Amino acid sequence: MKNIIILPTIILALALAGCDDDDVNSNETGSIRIEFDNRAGEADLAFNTDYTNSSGETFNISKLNYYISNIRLTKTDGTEFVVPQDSSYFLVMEDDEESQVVTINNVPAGDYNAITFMIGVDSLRSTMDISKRTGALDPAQGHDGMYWTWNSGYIFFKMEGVSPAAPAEQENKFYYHIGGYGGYDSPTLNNIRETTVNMNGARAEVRANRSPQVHLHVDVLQLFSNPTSIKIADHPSVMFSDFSTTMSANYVNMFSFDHVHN
Amino acid sequence: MSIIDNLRKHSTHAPVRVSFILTGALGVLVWGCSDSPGEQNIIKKPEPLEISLPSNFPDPVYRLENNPPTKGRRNSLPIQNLLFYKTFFWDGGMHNLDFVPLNAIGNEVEMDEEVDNILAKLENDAKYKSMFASAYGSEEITSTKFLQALSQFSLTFEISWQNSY
Repeated sequence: MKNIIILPTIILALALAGCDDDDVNSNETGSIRIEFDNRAGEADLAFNTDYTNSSGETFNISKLNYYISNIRLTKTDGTEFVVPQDSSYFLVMEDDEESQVVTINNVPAGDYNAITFMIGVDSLRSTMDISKRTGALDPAQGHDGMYWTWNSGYIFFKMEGVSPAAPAEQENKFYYHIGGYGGYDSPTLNNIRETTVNMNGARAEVRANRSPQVHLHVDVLQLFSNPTSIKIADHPSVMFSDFSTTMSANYVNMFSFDHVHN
Repeated sequence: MSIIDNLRKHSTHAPVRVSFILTGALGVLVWGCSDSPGEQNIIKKPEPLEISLPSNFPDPVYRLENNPPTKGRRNSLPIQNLLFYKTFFWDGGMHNLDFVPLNAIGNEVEMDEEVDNILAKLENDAKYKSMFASAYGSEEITSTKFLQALSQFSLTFEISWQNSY
């Protein structure tokens, strides 16, 4: 009888298929946590601690904040999960440990091996009605001054500190306040940057009962070197100016994968 | 003879530049503030404001010498017909009336205040709570409701149509 052969074959095929998917039930959802670990090269970042940039300038940091938004997670099969936009804005602050771990809920179960996100706030959200600016985006809630009230734009990236290379007349302080979403009805500075962090072969295995934590390194030294060498002495204060695009082209390279806990 | 007459006499073609210099009144004020020993006085002396008038302009009526103007860092915008404005502030950097108050609230030379703090004050005031409840249907006071209420208020100021001014 043919059935005697066919039936076990089907059962075996199903069993093998099941093994392949590592028992992933695509109807399940779980959560994933992304940790933004600020660093200076090999060292964990600490305020008021001296570091040296690629130009040999000594500096310390007293403030480091940045927006992470529009997160997308890529599965090992290449398909993408786009985090619903309303739940996809986070402000990471070095002086607030809780803010450094971003939790994304309702993620379809699966194995993920890359994370894509924006550093900053997209132009559409930057022009939305006040009622759409909740949580980290509420410009009325202060958020450590991450909003320019005179041109209604978010400051995407803010870093301040002290360096002997910065001018004495500004008390050796340096200020980097970078923003600019491209303009409302005429083009202005656009510092919206996106990066994809590949997990170098590792996988974040999201299941209903498993919440992987992806640990990213965020290296401030890259801001001064990758790809353009930036000297504090030449640029001690950068805000809404053309040079800010050079800075955002560097800070987009601060993010790299370190490890994942499944 | 006023200061302006004096200066105008010497220059009939070029615009007359009138310079007003701060007098002792402010000095007394600053002196009054500096009575805590060891503390640096951080009040900056305002700069005199120069007013240029074309030579064919009439003499000012207001007696400026009795109240010498000084430079200010802020000038308010006209607030009529806000319903029709696409941009706000002199440089047009703002595109939504709801966001306009944030600048004045937060700026250190204006209100030097934080919205969080304003909301806390409103929440501690039973009268405002009931007013927010009747306007929005719930007692909860959020930054959105607060800013939208300010916009409604400023929109009602003036519309030039059928206005008697």
